Parts: sequence; structure tokens; C-alpha cells
Amino acid sequence: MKKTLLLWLFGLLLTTQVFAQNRSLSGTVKDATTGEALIGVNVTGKGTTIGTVTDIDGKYTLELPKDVTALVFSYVGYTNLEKTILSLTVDAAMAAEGNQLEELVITALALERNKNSVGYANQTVKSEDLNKVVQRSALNALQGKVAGVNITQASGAVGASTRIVLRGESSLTGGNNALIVVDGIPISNSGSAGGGGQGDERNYVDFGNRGNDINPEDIESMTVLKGPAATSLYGSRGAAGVVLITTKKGTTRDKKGVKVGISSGVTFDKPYIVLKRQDKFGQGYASCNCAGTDFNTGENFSWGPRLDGVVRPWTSPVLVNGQLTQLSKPYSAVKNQLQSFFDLGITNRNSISFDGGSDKFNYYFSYTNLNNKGIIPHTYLKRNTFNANATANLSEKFSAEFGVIYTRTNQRGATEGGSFDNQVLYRPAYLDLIQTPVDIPVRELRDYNSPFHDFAGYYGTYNQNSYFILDNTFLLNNVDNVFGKASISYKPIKDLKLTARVGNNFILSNTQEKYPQYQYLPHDVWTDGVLEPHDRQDNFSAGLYSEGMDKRNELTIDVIANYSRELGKKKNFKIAVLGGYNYFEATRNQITGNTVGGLLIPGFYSLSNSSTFPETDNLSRHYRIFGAYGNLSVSYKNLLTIDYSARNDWSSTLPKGNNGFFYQAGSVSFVPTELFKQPNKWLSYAKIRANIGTTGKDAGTYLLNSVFVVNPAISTNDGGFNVGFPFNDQGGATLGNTIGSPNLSPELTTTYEGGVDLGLFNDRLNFEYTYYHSNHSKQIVNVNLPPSSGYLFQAFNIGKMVNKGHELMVKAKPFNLKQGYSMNLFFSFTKNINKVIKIADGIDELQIGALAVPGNHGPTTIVAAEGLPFGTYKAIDYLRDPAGNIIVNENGFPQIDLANPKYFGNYQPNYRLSFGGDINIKGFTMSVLFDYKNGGQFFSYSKSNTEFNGTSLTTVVNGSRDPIVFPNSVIQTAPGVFTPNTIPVGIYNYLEAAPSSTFLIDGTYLKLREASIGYTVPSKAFKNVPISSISLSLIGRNLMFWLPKENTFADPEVSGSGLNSDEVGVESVATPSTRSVGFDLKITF
Amino acid sequence: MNKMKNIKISALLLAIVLSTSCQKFLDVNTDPNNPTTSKLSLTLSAGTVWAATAQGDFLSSTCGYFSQYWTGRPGIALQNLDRHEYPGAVSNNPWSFYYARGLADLNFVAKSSEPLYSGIAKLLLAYHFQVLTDCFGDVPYSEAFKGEIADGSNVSPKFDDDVEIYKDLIVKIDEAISDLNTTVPGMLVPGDDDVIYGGDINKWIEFANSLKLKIYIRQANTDAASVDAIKQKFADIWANEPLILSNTDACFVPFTGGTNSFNPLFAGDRGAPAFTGCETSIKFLELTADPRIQKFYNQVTSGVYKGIPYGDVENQATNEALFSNFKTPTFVYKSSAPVILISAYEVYFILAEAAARGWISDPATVFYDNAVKLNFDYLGFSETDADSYLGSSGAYDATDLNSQLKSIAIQKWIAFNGLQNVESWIEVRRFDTPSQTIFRGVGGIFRSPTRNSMGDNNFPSILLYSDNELSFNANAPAQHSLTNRVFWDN
Repeated sequence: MKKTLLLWLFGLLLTTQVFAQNRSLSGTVKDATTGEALIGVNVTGKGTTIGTVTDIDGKYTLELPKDVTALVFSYVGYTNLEKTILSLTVDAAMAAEGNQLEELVITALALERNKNSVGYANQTVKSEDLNKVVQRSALNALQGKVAGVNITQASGAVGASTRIVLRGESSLTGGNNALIVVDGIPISNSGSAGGGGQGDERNYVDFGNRGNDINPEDIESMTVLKGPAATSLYGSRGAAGVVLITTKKGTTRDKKGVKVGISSGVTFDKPYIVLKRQDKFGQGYASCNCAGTDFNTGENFSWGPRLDGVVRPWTSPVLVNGQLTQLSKPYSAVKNQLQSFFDLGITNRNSISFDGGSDKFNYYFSYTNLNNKGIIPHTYLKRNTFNANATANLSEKFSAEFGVIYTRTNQRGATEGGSFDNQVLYRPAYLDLIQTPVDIPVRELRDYNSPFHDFAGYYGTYNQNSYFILDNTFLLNNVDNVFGKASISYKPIKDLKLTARVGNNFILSNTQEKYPQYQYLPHDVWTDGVLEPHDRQDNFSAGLYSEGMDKRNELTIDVIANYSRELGKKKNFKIAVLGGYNYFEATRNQITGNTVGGLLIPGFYSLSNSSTFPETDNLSRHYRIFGAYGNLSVSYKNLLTIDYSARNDWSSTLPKGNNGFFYQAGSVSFVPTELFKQPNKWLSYAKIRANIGTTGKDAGTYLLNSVFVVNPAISTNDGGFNVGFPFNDQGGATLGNTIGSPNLSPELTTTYEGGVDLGLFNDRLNFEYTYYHSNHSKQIVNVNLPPSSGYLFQAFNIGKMVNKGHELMVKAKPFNLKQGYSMNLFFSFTKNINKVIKIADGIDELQIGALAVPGNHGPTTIVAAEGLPFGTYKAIDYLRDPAGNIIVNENGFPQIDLANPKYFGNYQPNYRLSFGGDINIKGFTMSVLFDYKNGGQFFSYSKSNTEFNGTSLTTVVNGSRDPIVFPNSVIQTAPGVFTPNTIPVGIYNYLEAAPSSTFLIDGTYLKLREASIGYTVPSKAFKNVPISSISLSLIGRNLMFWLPKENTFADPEVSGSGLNSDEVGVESVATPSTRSVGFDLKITF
Repeated sequence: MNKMKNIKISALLLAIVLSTSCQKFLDVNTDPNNPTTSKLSLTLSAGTVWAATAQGDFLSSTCGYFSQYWTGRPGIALQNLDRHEYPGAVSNNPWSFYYARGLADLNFVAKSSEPLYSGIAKLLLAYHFQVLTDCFGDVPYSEAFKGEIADGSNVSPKFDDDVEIYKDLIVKIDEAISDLNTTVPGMLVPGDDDVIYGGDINKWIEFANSLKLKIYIRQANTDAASVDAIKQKFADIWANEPLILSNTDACFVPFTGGTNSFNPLFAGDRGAPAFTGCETSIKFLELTADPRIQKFYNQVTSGVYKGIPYGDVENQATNEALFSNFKTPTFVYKSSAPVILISAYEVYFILAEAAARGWISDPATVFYDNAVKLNFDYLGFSETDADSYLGSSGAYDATDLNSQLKSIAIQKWIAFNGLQNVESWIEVRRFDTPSQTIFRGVGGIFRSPTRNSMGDNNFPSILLYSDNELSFNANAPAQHSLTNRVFWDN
């Protein structure tokens, strides 16, 4: 809309030039496909500068000299059209999305540039493509729509974090999320988590990332900038790539008044549970060859006897009305057991927008209410967004823009995670669920006050009633997110524009965690046909209250001077010079407190209610960076453009006196089709582009000096059984873990990139292809030190990593359809090859994460190792003979090779592709989007947990649990002599000591990501009603998954316990992703 | 165009001016959350408690199994330690708690010019380095804690020979004694920040001398020439220097069970340990009618103790309530149990052994009886109880050197139950010699676990190095095996 406005203004200026007028032409301009009137189309006489723009009804009048023989129609997003003047009425039907000779694209600093002059890959997704289905967040809406982008969502929980990585992981330790920029100003995409915390896969509460606060409905377009040539103007902070978001602006409507848009959508969400469970063996441990022959009602194991359907007790006998009573049920698997645990999730989004204005002033205002009830009982996310944008053209020289987005988010989350890890308090419900024997009717447990399901009667000794936990645990996060921006532009002389822009993002996040106090009572358990008393002393919570306030502020100031001018006799040369200054400051103040040792009064949640002195902590951060930059662009006609940009940054995180760093980029773009005298039907458009550039990236805060930690916590747990300081009333201060590194220098990335854009067959087929190669060097890495050095880490400038890859985008309009009918297909392909070239002399491996896998499987770490991709798993394998067979011991048990951890693949995919399309038939629209990922592994805690407790499919072999000879195994009869093994062993026994590498699963998937069918009522229908359009669609998201055979455990996308952690590729028994269907209604007045 | 030029020039100037004046503006990178300096008193207390946690949690847990006081309890997925499955990763925690935390802090204090602080810190360093050497053999010592740039940026310290470390420990203790005897006007005097002795320097001198005796006696089975050099020094200390000879002088870190002061082992498992009483120890105490059993184990039913045969949990009933499982805290396993560095009865046992070996002339029986009496006293028994025990199953067998060593070894093993697990496992290894197997191996008190990962009747004689240390230290040796031995283990 902003484009429209500028063009309109441009047109206005042109029309003021007075020429000899000989005839008056008029006409209507419409969209060739929809027949809708187009507003603001530029109409000029060919070979003149005389022109006008169309009005609100698509009409224009223009007076032209008689010698002008043709009119040129141009409009953003449409193919230029030339029409010979045959009469005084010249109507035009313009085709959208074609060969856009004058197409403008958004580039760094929200600058619009002619597409022909951009020498790097640049992909934009428009509002209508983002919002085909009701989206929970703008980042999720981008999934599958752009090449070279990897978007993962942490889980199907309400408000779950979204991670967005462009062109592969680029930093060994620096965080790889792309920078998100709204209308030229970076926003804070910080994440927050409760419970165990971010990056801890054992237990955490995901309170999402602030990038998800952006309301998809307010977005005009999203552009993805990858590589230094595209991002160098963002400086250090844009090193991992930039996602540019342009929000909706007011449109000039003159007398037609306010345009009102109403949009309402609802989707119903059900968990898409990938985990498949065996249905042959029930509660107990008889079939694991442990002591015991019968079922056991105290167990969380499904290692009991074969399910036989006989009615047996399943709860402990409890006193009801003075009589010992228990519940009975058939000893058989419960159908839809996991599914039945969940609620129906509902996502409801309503928004209203107003826009309008004149040539002097226009505005856009919207209010959106999102109400998301989670599939996990009692979880919700409520978000209210107010967005206001205003533009004022104060005079021909002055213009100003102002905008504010206020988002209030109220979320109630639930604990997720892959391991109980001795923590009773942070008890993830889904983990408890998958640890439930297959014959337990979980839905019945919902009535947790029933004497059979309360603390006395509850069936298991180790499990807990998740419904009680979910109802009585309050994990709340309330966030106020205010993003304000203002800019003023001044044109002191023709061709020069000065802009000053300030943006501020203020986020206040309040987190409250209330954990109830309870104690499970001793109960009698049916064990091998007799009742046996079990105490449940360990199964208790002393209660906890914690509260945190986290205040973040990010301030950006830009001063930009932009000068452009056409040169030469025929004005064939265009030169554009840009200079700017950028200042960025981030501050953070966080304060947290929690009770220690439990609550004095149960159910009263306040720090004052702490059994012993509550703990408090605070955290402050302060970061500043400023930069000066320049850009020079020279074009010859629309044919050739050479572009150079340079920037110097000065950062507070680098050593004093050495904190400045310089980097630069150059690009060239060549459009050979401009040489054609006549448009060529076969090759309608071609652009060849190439660029090379560097980017620098500064260090994290506070890495330069060694520090002490005052009053350290030495050993803590959720029961308040702590060791730490103050200790016996004495304070303490311990040396920090990290040695200060006073000589750090910035990270450096050098990228070269080349590509072609082609339009074939009158632009019915479009290709955009890019190859890139990035060298990431001087990486700032927190190297693990041997503890004997007195420290555990030190930051060094070491390491080199390479990302190279291919990106391909194909768009097609396969048929030449008549007006009102259209079909669009698209296909995108992304392949990124990532390799760690070097860590440092003497260090060939760097640990990025370590997984705390319970049991006896050996460790798994995630590493950056020389010669391998970033994020490679290092895990334990079976002991194997030279032929690769698994060696068993004298009892037939496979042995694991604990002493020699090996490298096993990594989470990065081999390639990704997405494809889809839409068909429009007279207002009916149907669209689908498929998303495919090939390769990449994930570590499955769901597998480790369900193999342990006997519910996974892998715990039953050929329908039985009889001991089997371990497949492909050999026994060593003499040193170096191996003979085939024939000794059968129990399934439980070999799974219990299976090596950690067996939990790595192929992460390939094909998903039917989005599908929709909609109808737009034609505008003719509203002649006498003040409605300009109505559209209604039926929408679906995540309708179908196709997964490899070995993945019967989890959605490979649901991985990673935190946004800011690079420990991705870890499936941590997170809430399953959701399959959604719903409706969406849009009305404009 | 002139106007244009002016604007360009002023923009450039503006950028330059802003850039230079902003250098000061960028001076915001001092960590507001953590100070760059500390006070000696704060770092001394931190180092003391970190080191006590390394010893009293991780090492104590392992050594409680290896001393066959404890074994895995039912209801836990699988136990490793009592099958002698000890991968290097198990050492990661104690290793980093010691080197990167406790000892690094103590080293910081030891480097200071405040003599009383440096003296205490040096003594604690010597004590814990002996523990590290006794558990791991060769360890980083002379080049440790030099990672900081001011200290030479050595982030790959070499592993020193255990013999050499032992020699230097005595040097360090002598330095510490000299520091503690220094008086400088205006010097800092420790008080309650010394969480062990509350600033009582005389007690630290007693600790220093007792520690020297412990270091000397540990080398009793090394070559004759070394022993000759040692025994005179031992006798001199016994004759001339103050020692820890009463329970009130014992050196321990007091964990009170209050806020932040839970016994580290108890805190680590929230009072619900993965171990249960081991039959080896329970049976032995029952057979010798030793009343101390009630302080070490909890009763299943009144007067009944029940242990699980060492490393045999897989063949036992699954109901943990059938065993002495520590669910009810005991005297030794409770939230307020201290972490003991050196006890008075330990010093008497050392003296008894020295007397038995003829290093000192006093009668060994007296030392032995005193040791047992002090242990009974510490555990809350009367002197009558001790006398009755010493008059029967606890009597000193003075027949020959082996019988005397056996009496001392077994009494040490009993007295250290749950109180000084690490010292117990160290001494178990030392007292088992080619001429006499008291604990481990054929005819010994200990049981070989059912699925012994080392093979039947094999027992660990050393702890594997921390995987982290080996991965990250370019000068680290290859991982050794559990059958390797420390130099004094002959």
C-alpha cells in the first residue's frame, strides 16, 4: 500500500506539469483475472512524462498531445501494459504477477528497489499467501513458502517457540536465529522459559519467543534476506540473515472514507500423535523376565503378562463408605488411549482493521484477538494486538511516519520434557502419559477427586495423576510487548532524501509458577495375585512458588541520506548513493524469586510463604553497538547494476580500542532481456546476478574479564535440599567458570553467491536459482577447558565452518486461462551443505550439548567436529566385529562399546522441498502446500522412555516377548574368532542396555502443511450494500504426515527445547504437534 | 551541487565525531552481575564447601559402594557401580567440582600474602590433593589452575607422578605451618568465615600434623628406603607436635541440615538414595554383635536389619521396603551429617599402625582401643559399650604384624561406615596386600558382584579419569583401567 501511495504521489507531481493539451483520454483499468478495478495505476503517454493515476473506481482521465500514439499502464505487482490509442476511451486489463519490469522489492533498511537492480536472492511472501490458513504466528506462516529457510516449532503446546535459521547454521556457538526486522527496525526475538529452563531437554515450560507476537494479519509482506550483500547494512546483528516484515499501511481513499476489514477464523486442534504403542502386553513386569508372574497395579511398566481381556482390579483397594473397594476393568489395551488424554484445542482469531486517508495523511489501525485453548488441559494463550500506522505528508519536502504495535499475551503453559530426573515437581504430563501402561484408561483419571484416583487410591506407585498436576499447577506468563517507531523524511533538494528513524521495543514479561503441595499415601498393590503394601514417600511435592520480572528494551536509531539521480543525455545512467548511521542499544533487567524448601501454607502462593528464606536473583545486561555505512549503486538503463556497500561497526562487547570492524559487499545484476527490442515470448525475462561480501559479528556480552560468582549455589533440587551460600550464615564467592578473553575479535563471514532469474513463455514459468558459498571464520567459541585449568570454558576466536548450497524456486501458471480462472503452482528446493572445517589447533571437537539420558545406554553429546556437519551426534554403538556384526557376551547379550563413542549423523537435513499451488475459479479458491524434508536425524526421548517401560512397538517382536537371538550377532570364541550367536535373550534385557545411538531416528517427513478451499463473493453482489467483499474459507493445517517406517515415536519437527539453544535435534517428549481444521471469514466494507 | 557536497561532508564529519566520542559510550561491558574481585574470606569459605561437596557427594557415593557398605536398591532401573561399571563420565562431576571449583578457589586464597588465609588454604589443598591422588593416581598438580592469562594461560596441565605429588604435599604442609605461625601487623584474621575451625589456628596446626601422619602411613608398603626416611619423621611429629586426638578437634565441614547446608550426599538424592544397605557390612556387624549397626543402617522391623548381597539386586524381591533402605535417616545418612576430613579415631588408628610396625615405641593396643572408644563416643555410645565390644569381638589381635594390621584394617572399615567412605575405600586397597587378603578376593570379607563387569573376584583399585579432562586436555594421558594401582598400593 505504501508503494501505491508513493506512486500516486509521483503521479500527482507529474500531472501538475502543464503541456499543450490537445485531447482528453479516459478509461477504466481492471485486473485481468478478477475484473476488480485497480486503484492508483500509473497511466502515462508513451514517450512523455505526462501521466496520471487511476481513482478509486479504476478510472482515469488524461490530456495528451495528439502526437502521442500509445498509453503505458504501470502498477506495482502487475505487468506493464502498453496500449495504442485507437479512441478516446482506452480501457486496460492488467495481468498480475507477471514480468515485472518495474517491480519493486524491499531490501535492507526497508528500502524499495527496482528488482532488476538487486544482485542477490530476494524472496518475498505476500499477505494473502501468509494468511491462507489461520496462523498462530507470522514465523510459522512462512513455513514451506521460501527457499533456504529452516523453520522449526518447539512443540504443539500453546505459544511454543519457533526457530528460524537461514541457509544453515552459521555460528558455532553464537545463536543462529535470523534477525527479525519490522518496517526497517529490528525487534527483540528473545525467548523465555520456566521450569528447568531453556535449553534443558529434561523439563521446561516454553513461554515462546517474542517474534511470535507479530500478528500475521497485520503483515503486508515478508522478505527473506540471506547473505552479506543483502544484509550488510544491518551490520553485526544481521549476520545470521534477516527476515524483513512490512506491516500494512493506510491506503489513500479520498472521498470513499474508511475501509473496514473484519476477519474471523477458528480452528479446532487435535494432537497429531506419531507415537505408536504395542497392544499385546499390559501393566506389570512379568514379561521382562524379572521376578513376578502376574500383573502389578503399582507399575508404570507395560512389561506385564499378555493381555487377555479378563476383568481384574486396576486400582488399589480403598475405603469407600467403610468398605474396601477397588475398580476393575478388562486386562486389555485401551483404544485411542493417548488421544483420549487430550482436550480439543481451539484457536480463535478475530480482527478488525480500519484504513483510509487522503494524499496528505493516511492511517491503518487494527485490533486482533487471538484465543488459543491448548490440547493439554488448562493451557491457553490469549493475545490482544493493537496496531496503528500513520503516514503524513506534511509538505512536498517533509513527510513523517508513526506506528505502534502493542501486544499483550497471557499464557498458561505446562511442563514438557524428556526425563523426570529426580525432580518430582516439574512433572511433564505427556511424559507421564507415554509412561502409562497400555491398559490404563487414562480418561477416567480425569476425575482426580474420586477415591480411586486421588492420593490414596491412585493406581501407580511411580506415576502421578497428570490431571491433578495440570489443574493445580499454574505456569503463567504475561507479556507486554510495545514496539514503537517513528520516522521523518526531508527532501532538501531534488533527488536527496534524508530520513531519521527511531524504533523502540519494550518488553515486560512476568512469569509466575505455582506448584501445589501433595503427598501420595501408602497403598496396597496387586502383585502376583496378592496385595502388597507400597510406600510412596518419594512421590511428593513440598510446593513451590516462583515469580520473575524480565524487562527488555531495545532502541534503534537510524539516520539515512539517500541520493539518487539519473545521468547522461538519455538519462540512461542511474546513480544512487546512500549513507547512514545506526545506533542500537539493548538493556535487560530481570529479577526472580522462589520459595525454598516448600510452602508453609498449601495453596497460598507468595514468596513470603517459603519454608525457609526464599531465594532471589537478578540479571542485568547492557549492550551497545553503532555503525556507519554507505552504499553506492550505478545502473545502466535497466540492464546492468553494480552495487557496493560498506559498513563499520563499533561494539561494546569487543576489547576497548579494538572494538571497530569493517566489512563490505559488492553485487552485480545483469538483465539481458532488456537488450531485446521486442519482448521475446519464450524468454520473457532473464536476470543474472552475483555478489561477494563479508559480514562481521561481535562477541556476546561480558566475555572479556574473568569474574567471581557471589553466593554460588552448589547443589540444588526442587525439594529445597540445597548446598550453597550463604552457608551456615557465611557468604561465599567462587571463581567463575569462564576465563576472560580480553583479545577477542569479531567473527567473519565471507560469502559468494550467484544466480539466475528466468521468466519463460510469457512469464508463465518462472525460475529463481541461487548458489552460495559461505566461509564462517574467526568464530567466537566458548571452548571447553579441562577442569584442571581451574576453569571450564574460555572464549576464543577459532574455528571455521562452511555453508554452501542451492536454492531453487519455480512458479508456474501452466494454462492460459480466461478471465476469472487461474492456476498457480510453485515448487521450492533447498539444499545446504554444512561442514565444520576447523576448531583449533589441538582441538578437533567442540561439545554443543550433552543429553542426560537416564538408564544404562551411555552418553550422547552433540558436537561440532572437524570434517563433519555442525550438530553431529556423538553416541555409543554396539561392540562390533570387523564385519560389523554385533558382538554378544557368553550369555547372548549384545555388548556396547562404551569406551569408543562414535559419530552418528546430525540433525541437518539433506535437502528440503515444498510444493503446492492454488486454483481459482470465479471466486472459488483451492490451495495446498506440501512440505518435505529429507534426512537429518533426531534424538528421541520418546523412544528411550517407551522402550524402558515397555510400551513402544519395538518391545514386542513378532507379536511376542519370548527371548530371541539378537539379530546379526556373533560371539567371540577365541581372540579375533567370531561365530554366529545362537543364544536367545529377553527383549527387556537387551533394550535396557541398548547403546544410546539406537535412539537416533531418521527425521525425514512429508507433510500436507496447509490446505484450504474458499469462496469470495464477487463485488458486484454488493451494489446496494456497504460491503466491498466477503470471503469464506475452510482451512486445514498439518492434515497428513508421511514418516519413515522406523519413526513410530514422534514428529521430527517437534524438537529442541528452546529457541536460543543450538542444542536442536532433540525430541524431548514435547507436546505433540496439532492437526487443525477450521473456518476463516473475511469481510471488507 | 554545492549544497549537496556540504551535506555529504557534514554527514561524514558527523559519523567521525560520533564514532570517536562514542568510544566512551561503549564502555558498558563490565559484568553487572558478577564482580571481578573477591575477598579472601568469601573465597576461602566457597572453596571449603565446594571441595567438601566433591568429596562428600560424588566420591563418597562411589566409595560407599566400593567399600560394600551399600548396594543398589530395587525399583531403580539398573545399577552400575555395584557391578563395577565405572565409565570415565562418572568422574566428571567430582573432577570439575574439585579442580574448577573448590581447589581453584583454595588455590586463589593460597596465593595471597595474608599468611593465615594462605596457610589454611594450603592445608586444605594438600588434604584434597592426597584424596585425588589416592583415588586417581597421577593427576594434574604442579601445572594446575594456571589457565588465567596472568598465570600463564596454561590450559593443558600435565599429569604429575603420584610419588612426586606425595613428596610435594609435605613441602606444602610445611609452608602452611610456617604461614600459620607468621604474625604480621594488621594481617587479616579468619573467624567464622573459616567454616571448619572458626579461625582457631591451633586446631589447623593439629590438622597439619595429623595430615602429615596420614600421608606418611599411607606409604608404609612402599620400598624400604622410602619407609626408612618416613618413619623417623613420623616419630618426630608424634613426639613433638600437637595432633587431632579428641572428637572436638576433628576436622569436618559442618552441614547442619538448614538452608543451603544439607549434607551433600543427602541433598544430591533428596534423601531417597539409589542405594540400600549391603549384606557384606550388615552381616559382619551382626556376626560381631556390633551395636554400631543401629547408627549405620535403619531397621526393617524392630531389631531386624536386612541387606542385599553386593551387586545382586536383580535376584532380589522388588519391594524396597523389605530392606534397610535409608528411607528413614540414620546417624550417618542424614541431612545434618558433616563431611569429615580427618577424625580423631582415624589419627589413633594411624598411630596404632605405626606402633604395630615399630615406627613408634608406644603399645599399639592402647592406640587401637582409644580409636575404637572415640568412634563409639562419636556415634553416641558409652565407654561401657566400647569396653564390652573391645573385650569380645572387637579385641585387638596382637599375635603378629599381619594380625595387628588386620584388626586395624577391619576396625577402620567399620568405623568409617558412611562417615568417611572415601578414606575407607583407600585403606581397603592398602590393607589388602600379597601377604594378606582382608577384604577383596578369595577368603576376603567382600563379595564379588553377580554380574561383575571386571570379571569374577576382581575389584576396582583406582577411579577412571574424568572423560571431560581427557577430552579437553592435550597433555592428558590415555585413560587407565580400573585395575591400575596407586604407587602405595603394593
